[in-house]
Amino acid sequence: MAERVYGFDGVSPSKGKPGRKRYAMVVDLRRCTGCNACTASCKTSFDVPLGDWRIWVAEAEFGEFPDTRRAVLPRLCNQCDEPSCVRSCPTKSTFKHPDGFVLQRYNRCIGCRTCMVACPYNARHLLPEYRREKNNPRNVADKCDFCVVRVTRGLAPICVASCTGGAMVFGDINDPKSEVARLLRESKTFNLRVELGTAPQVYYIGLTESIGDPEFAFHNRSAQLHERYNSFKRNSELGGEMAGDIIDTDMGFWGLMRHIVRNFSSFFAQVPHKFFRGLY
Amino acid sequence: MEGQMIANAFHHSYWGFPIALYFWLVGVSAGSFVISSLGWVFGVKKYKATAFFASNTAIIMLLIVPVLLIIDLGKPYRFFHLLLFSSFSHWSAPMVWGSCFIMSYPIAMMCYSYFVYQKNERWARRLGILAVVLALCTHWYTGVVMQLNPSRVPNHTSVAPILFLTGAYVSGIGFLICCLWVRNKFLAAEKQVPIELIADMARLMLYGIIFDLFLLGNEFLQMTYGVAEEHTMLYDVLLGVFRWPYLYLEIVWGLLLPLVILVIPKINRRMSWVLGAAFMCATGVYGMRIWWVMGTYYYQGHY
Amino acid sequence: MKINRRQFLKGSAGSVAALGVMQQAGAMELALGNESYNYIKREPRERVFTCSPLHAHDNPVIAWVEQDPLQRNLLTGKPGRLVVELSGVTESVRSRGRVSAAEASAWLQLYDGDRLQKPLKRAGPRGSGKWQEITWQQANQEIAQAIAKSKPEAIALLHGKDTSAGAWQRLLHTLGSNSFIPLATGTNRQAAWQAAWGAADAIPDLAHSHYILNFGTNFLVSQPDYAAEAMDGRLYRRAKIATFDPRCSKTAGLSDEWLPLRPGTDGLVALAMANYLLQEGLADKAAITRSSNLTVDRLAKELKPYTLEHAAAVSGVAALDIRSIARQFAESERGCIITGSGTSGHTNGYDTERALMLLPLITGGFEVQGGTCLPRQIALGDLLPKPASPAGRNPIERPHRFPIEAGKQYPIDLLFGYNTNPAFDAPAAAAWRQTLADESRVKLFVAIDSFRNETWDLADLILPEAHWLERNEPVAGQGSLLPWIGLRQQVSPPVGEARELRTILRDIVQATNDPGAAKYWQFGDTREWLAMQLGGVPGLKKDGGWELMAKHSGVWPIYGYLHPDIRRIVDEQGEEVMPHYGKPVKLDLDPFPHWQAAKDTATAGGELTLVVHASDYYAGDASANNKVIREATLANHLHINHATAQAMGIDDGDLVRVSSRAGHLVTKAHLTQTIRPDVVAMHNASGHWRIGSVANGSAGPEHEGANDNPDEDINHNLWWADPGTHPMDLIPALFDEQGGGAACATAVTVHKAEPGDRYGNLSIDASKLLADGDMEKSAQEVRA
Ligand SMILES: Nc1nc2c(c(=O)[nH]1)N[C@H]1C(S)=C(S)[C@@H](COP(=O)(O)OP(=O)(O)OC[C@H]3O[C@@H](n4cnc5c(=O)[nH]c(N)nc54)[C@H](O)[C@@H]3O)O[C@H]1N2
Ligand SMILES: Nc1nc2c(c(=O)[nH]1)N[C@H]1C(S)=C(S)[C@@H](COP(=O)(O)OP(=O)(O)OC[C@H]3O[C@@H](n4cnc5c(=O)[nH]c(N)nc54)[C@H](O)[C@@H]3O)O[C@H]1N2
Ligand code: SF4
Ligand code: SF4
Ligand code: SF4
Ligand code: SF4
Ligand SMILES: [Mo]
Repeated sequence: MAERVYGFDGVSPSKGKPGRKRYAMVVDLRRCTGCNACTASCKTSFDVPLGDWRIWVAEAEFGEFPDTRRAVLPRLCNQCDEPSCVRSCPTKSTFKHPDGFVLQRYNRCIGCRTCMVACPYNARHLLPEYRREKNNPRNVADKCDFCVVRVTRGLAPICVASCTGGAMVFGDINDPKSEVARLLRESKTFNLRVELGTAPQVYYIGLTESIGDPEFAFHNRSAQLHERYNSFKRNSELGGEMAGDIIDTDMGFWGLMRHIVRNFSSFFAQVPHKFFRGLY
Repeated sequence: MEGQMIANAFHHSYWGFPIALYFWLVGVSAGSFVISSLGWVFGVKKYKATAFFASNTAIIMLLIVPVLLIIDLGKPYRFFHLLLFSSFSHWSAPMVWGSCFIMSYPIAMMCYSYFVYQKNERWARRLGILAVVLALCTHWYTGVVMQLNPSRVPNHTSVAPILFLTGAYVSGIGFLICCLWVRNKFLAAEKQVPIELIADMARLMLYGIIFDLFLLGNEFLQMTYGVAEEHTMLYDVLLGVFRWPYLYLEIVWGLLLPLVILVIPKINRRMSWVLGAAFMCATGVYGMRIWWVMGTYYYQGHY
Repeated sequence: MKINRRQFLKGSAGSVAALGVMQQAGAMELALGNESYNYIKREPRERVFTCSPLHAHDNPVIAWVEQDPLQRNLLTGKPGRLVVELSGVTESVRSRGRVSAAEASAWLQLYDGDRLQKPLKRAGPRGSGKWQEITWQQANQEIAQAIAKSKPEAIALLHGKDTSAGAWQRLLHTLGSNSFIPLATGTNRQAAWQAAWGAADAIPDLAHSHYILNFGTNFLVSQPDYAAEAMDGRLYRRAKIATFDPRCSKTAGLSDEWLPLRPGTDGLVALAMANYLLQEGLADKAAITRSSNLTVDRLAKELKPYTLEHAAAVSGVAALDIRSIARQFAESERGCIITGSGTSGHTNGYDTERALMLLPLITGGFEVQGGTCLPRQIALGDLLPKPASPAGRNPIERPHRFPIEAGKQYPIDLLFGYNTNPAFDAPAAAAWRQTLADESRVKLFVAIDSFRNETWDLADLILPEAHWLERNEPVAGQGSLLPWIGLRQQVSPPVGEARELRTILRDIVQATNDPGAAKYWQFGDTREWLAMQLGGVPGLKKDGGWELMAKHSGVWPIYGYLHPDIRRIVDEQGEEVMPHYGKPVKLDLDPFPHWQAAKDTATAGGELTLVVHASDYYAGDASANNKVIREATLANHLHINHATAQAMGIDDGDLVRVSSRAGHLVTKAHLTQTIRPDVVAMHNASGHWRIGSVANGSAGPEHEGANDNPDEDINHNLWWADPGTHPMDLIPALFDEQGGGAACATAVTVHKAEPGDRYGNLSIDASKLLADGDMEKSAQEVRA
C-alpha cells in the first residue's frame, strides 16, 4: 500500500488510469424511497452504535398545501478527492486509498477528533466506549469506508446491495462501461457543498438543493426534529463525556454553567475508563 | 414556509469545554510569558522583577495543557506514538506542529526560568527569544487548527490566529496581575510588586483590549455582511445560544468593562480597580474560547 | 420461460453464473449479494437461505452465520452459531438482492434481552403483570385439560398475518374448531377482491406500468417490494405515479402528483372517473363485458349519478384534477391501480375497493402488461393425513366484532393468540383489553410469541416461540407475477426453552392423549414437515428437490439472474424475464358498488378527521423493540395542517389535546403543509408500554439504573426519549359489515392542552368505544 495518499492533494492516483479501479457512487434520487434500508443494513453489518451513523437519510417537506413535495437524501462520507479530514489528521490514521476510498486505521487513531471538525459533511463520528460487540474498536474516529472490506472481495457495499429503490449505484468510473460511469456521463449530477473544494465522490441525480444545504437544515427544522436534536445532545452518554454538546434551549447563564459543569464532570469521570479499559 | 427538515442524523459536537479551557490555558501561558520576556529579552528593566514569577506561572499553566489534551483524546496512551515514532506524524496537520510546540515551549521556558534565576543575562535572553517565539507559535497554531477547517464559521478566517494571540496577550496579562496580587499577599512589603508596575501592565493590557476589540469589530462587520452561516452566527452570538459566552462574557465582561476601567484616570492606577479589570479580562477570554470552539460545529451539527 | 434442472443448478451458483451475463452487459463487476466475509478472519461466512415474514409479502433473505470463539451470544453469554448479517437473495424475483430496513436489522431480535425464554403462567389476577416460570410439561398439561373441558368450537385462534403455512388451521381442525379471529383492516380489501375475482389480492404490475394510480396506500413505506418495482417502472418506463391520500405521505410526496382527498371518498372519485371515461369514449367496451358480469349499458346507467362535480364537492379534489388523472390513466394504456389500508380501512372500505376495480376494468387494464393482475401462486403440498374442516360454528358470529361479541353466546373456553397485538393495534384497543381481561368471557387465554406484548399481558399462559430465524416453515410466495416458493429454515437453534410453533402445537395435541387427534401430528422434527409440504410441489423434484433448493438459493424456480445494472432478473441472453399475462378475469360486481359515505370519517362542525396509519421503517410490532428501527422512527406527533393549527393558536411543537367521543390523549402538534386542513394524522407505532425496554422507552436515558440490557449499546448509547402516544384507543369500534374490517379513522377535536395535561396522557372510557344503538342499527341495515 505504498500509494496511500495523505495531505493536500488527495486525488487518487488511480483516477483515469487504465487497468486500475476507481470507485465512486451515484445516488439517483428519483429512485430513492427514503426507506432507510441502507441505514439499517450498514448499522447492523458494522455494529454502528446508536447515535452514530455511517449513512443516514435526511428528509424534508417542501411547498405549501396542496402543492407539497417531499425530498429524501441519503448521506454518507463523500470519499472526497481532496479530503479535508485527511490533511488534518495528525497520525495518518485516515488516508486516501488509491482506488478512491478514504479509509480509517483504528489502530493509529488517537481519538483527537480533528478530522471531524475538518469534515464539512458531518460524516465522521467517534465510536463510543460501549459497543454491542465487545471486541470492536472504541474511542476512535470512524466513518463510512465505502465498504472496502466487501468491495475488495468483489461485493458491492451492503447499503447498495440492500437499496430497495435501486437508487444507489456503485462502481468503477475508470471502466467506461460501468453503470456509474454511464450515469456520470449521461446524467446531470450534483455534489454536496462543491464550493468547499473537497471534490466529493458521491454524486446525486435530482438533488433538491435546499435539503443539501446546511443553512436550510439548520433554520428550517420541524419542532420535533429540533426536540430530537436536543434530546440527543442531552441524553447521549458519549456527548456528555467528550463533547461540548449544546442544548440550545438551555443556554442562559445557568444553562451555560450547567453545561460547563456537566461536560467537565463527565469528562473527568471518563478518564479512568480511557486509561484502564480498552487500552487498545 | 418554503419547507422544513423532518428527519436528519445528529453527530456529536467534537470538542467541548475542556478544549476551550485548553485554548485558554495556552493563551494565558503565552500572555504571561510575553510579560516575563519584556525585561530580559526586550530590555524593559522594570519588568525584570516579575520575569521569574511570570515565567513560572506560564510554565505551570502550560504543564496542565498537555494533560488536558491527552486525557481528552479517545486513546490517551497512543499520544506517545506521536512522540516516539516520527513516521506516525502527519506533517500537513497543524496538530502535529502544535505537538512540537507544546512539547518544546515548556522546555524552553524552563531553561529560560533557570537562567533568569541564575541571573545569566546572555542565556536568559537567548532562551527568552526562543521561548517567546515558541509561545507565539503555540498559540498561533491553536488558531490555525481552527482556521483551516473550510466549512466552519466563524473559524475559517485568517484573522483567527491573531485573534487568538490577542486574546492570549490580554488574558495572560490579566491572569498574571491576579497572580501577582495573590503573591503580594504572601510577601513582605519590600518584595511586593509595586502598584505602579501592575498599573503599567494594565496599560499594556489596555492596548491589547483595544486591539482585540478592533479585531472583533472587523469580525462583527464580516458577520454582518457575511454569507449565510456567518449571518446565522451573528444572530446567535448576539441573541441566541452563544449570547452568554460572546456578548456578556467576552465583550461586556472581558473587554468593555475593563476598557472603561482602564481609561478612567486615577481609577486605572488603583489596585482594586486594576485587579478587577485584570480578573475580568482573564475570565472573559474563556468566553471567547467557548463560542469560538463550540460555535464552529453548532450549525453543522444539524446538517 | 421453462425452467429445467440445468438452469436451476446454474442459477444456484450465484455470482459465478451471473458473470456470464455481466460480460455481455458490460456491467458493474461487483456482486450485489450471495457472499459475505468475516473481515478479520478473512473467511467467507456461512449462508443460510430463509424467508422473512416481516412484510405483507414474505421476502427471501440470506442469513449470514459465524462461529467465532471471540463473539458471544448476548443472551447466553456463550460463543456459538451467531447470525451477523442479513441480506437479500439475488435469484429471488421478490427480493432481487434487497432487504428492507426492518429485515436488515431483524437478526438483532434473536439476541434481544427482552425475549421470552421460558413458559410463563400468570401469578396474580389477569393483567396484573405478575408471572411465574413453569415447565413446558406443566403448560401442555394445563392446556390439554382446558381442551378436554372445552366445547370444540369454543376453542378459538386470535391471529394476525398467518405465517404458519397451515399449522394453525391443522390444530384447530384437529380439535374440531373453525373459530378464527383475524385482526386486520386489510380484510375489507381482501374480502372485496375475494368476492370479485376469487383471490384475496390484486397484484399491480408496477415495474412494467406507465401509470401508477395509488389510492390510500403509502406503499413506498409499507411495501418495500412494491416500492422497488415501482421505482423500476418510474425509471425504465417513465411511469407516472399519482397518489390519492388525505396526507402527503412519503409515497404521495415522492409521487408525481398528490391529490389530497377527504378520507373515505375514494369510491366516489373512482365512480366519477369511470363515468367520465365511459362518457368520453375512453372505455374499452369489449374488456368490460369480457372481464366482468356487467354490461356497458348497465354500467352507464349505474354510473350516471356520479359526475365529476359531485365527486369534487365531496372529495375536495378539483373536478379538473380528477378528470385529468382519469384521462392520463386511460391514455397511458398500461396503467395499474394500487390500494391499501387507506381505502380499506373505513366503513365503506369493501365498496370502495370494488368501485376502484372499475378503473382497470373499463380501461382494459386487467391481466395485461403493466396492469392489475391476479395473484400467482405455487401450491404447497401437505402433511397427510389431513383433518377435515369441521362444521361447528364460530361462537362469535362476526369475528371482527370480537370485543363486542366475545362470550355473548357462551364463553370462549380456550383462546390462542398468535402473531397479533389487538390490545395495542386494533381500533378500540381499550375495548379489546376490557374483553380479554374478562375471565367470564374468555376462560383460558394462551399466547405464543417470542416477546410479551400488550395483548399477552392479559393472557394466562405465554409460551416462548422460536424467532423466525430459528424456525422451519414452508413459504408459498406472494406478491410477484412470477410465482415462487421458498422456505424459512432454522438458521440457529432457538434460545432458552423457546420452541418452534409446530413443535409446540404437536406437544399440546399429544398432551391431550387423544390418538384420534395425534394421528394428524406425526412428525419427528419440523424439517420433516418441511419435507412433506415442499416435497409435494410438482416440478421441484425434477429440478433437484427441495433440499437442493434449501441449500442453493432458498427459492424456486430460478428464472434467471439478477442483472446488476438494471437490477432485474434476466435470462441468459440478458433479456428481462417477463411474467405471463392474460389469466381469465371475470369480476363479479353484483351488487353494484354504489358509494355511501363512510361513518368513521364523518365530522360535525369544528371536528377534524383523525387517520391513523402505519409508520415508516416499521414492520409491525415485530420491529417495535428493534433499536435500529426505533432510532429512525419519529414519535407519532399529531400531523396537523399549518393553517388549521394557526387558526387555533397552535404552534409547531405545542402540546395538544386530541379528543374523540371516547376520550382524549395529549400529544404534540407537528405543523405541516403535507396534510388536508380538515384531517389530522398519527402513526400507530408509538406509545408501547410492553414488548421490550426499547419499545416502551424504559431503556431510555431517563431510566438510569434500570439498564440491564445485554446489549451495551442499548444500555449506554440509546439517546431518544420520546416514546410517543398510543392513538388506537381513540378510535371507536366501527366496522364495514360487508368486508368485516374495522375502520381506522374517527372524528376528533383538537385544541391546546389544558393545564395539567402532560405529554402522553391518555384518558379513555372504553365503554364509549363500542358502537351505540344507532350504529348497531345502521350496521344491521347494511347487512340486510
Ligand atoms: N412500515 C410499515 N409497513 C407495513 C406495516 C407497518 O406497520 N409499517 N404494516 C403492514 C400491514 S399489516 C399492512 S395492512 C400494510 C398497510 O400499508 P398501507 O396500505 O400503505 O397503509 P398505511 O401505511 O396505513 O397507509 C394508508 C394511507 O392511507 C391514507 N388514508 C387514510 N384514509 C384514506 C382514505 O380514505 N383514502 C385514501 N386515499 N387514503 C387514505 C393514510 O393517510 C395513509 O397514508 O402495510 C404493511 N407494511
Ligand atoms: N389505526 C390503525 N390501526 C391499524 C392499522 C392501521 O393502518 N391503522 N392497521 C391494521 C392492520 S392492517 C393490521 S394487519 C393490524 C396489525 O396489527 P397486529 O396484528 O397486532 O400485527 P403486529 O403489529 O405485526 O403485531 C404482531 C405481534 O405478533 C408478534 N410476532 C411477530 N412475529 C411473530 C412470530 O413469528 N411468531 C409469533 N408468535 N409472534 C410474532 C409480535 O411480537 C407482535 O406482538 O393493525 C391494524 N391496526
Ligand atoms: S466526506 Fe468528510 S470524512 Fe468523508 S472524505 Fe470527505 S472530508 Fe473526509
Ligand atoms: S480522531 Fe483519529 S482519524 Fe481523526 S484526526 Fe484524530 S487521529 Fe486522525
Ligand atoms: S458504503 Fe458501506 S460503510 Fe458506507 S454507508 Fe454504505 S454500507 Fe455503510
Ligand atoms: S436504501 Fe436506497 S431507496 Fe432506501 S433510503 Fe437508502 S438510498 Fe433510498
Ligand atoms: Mo394489515
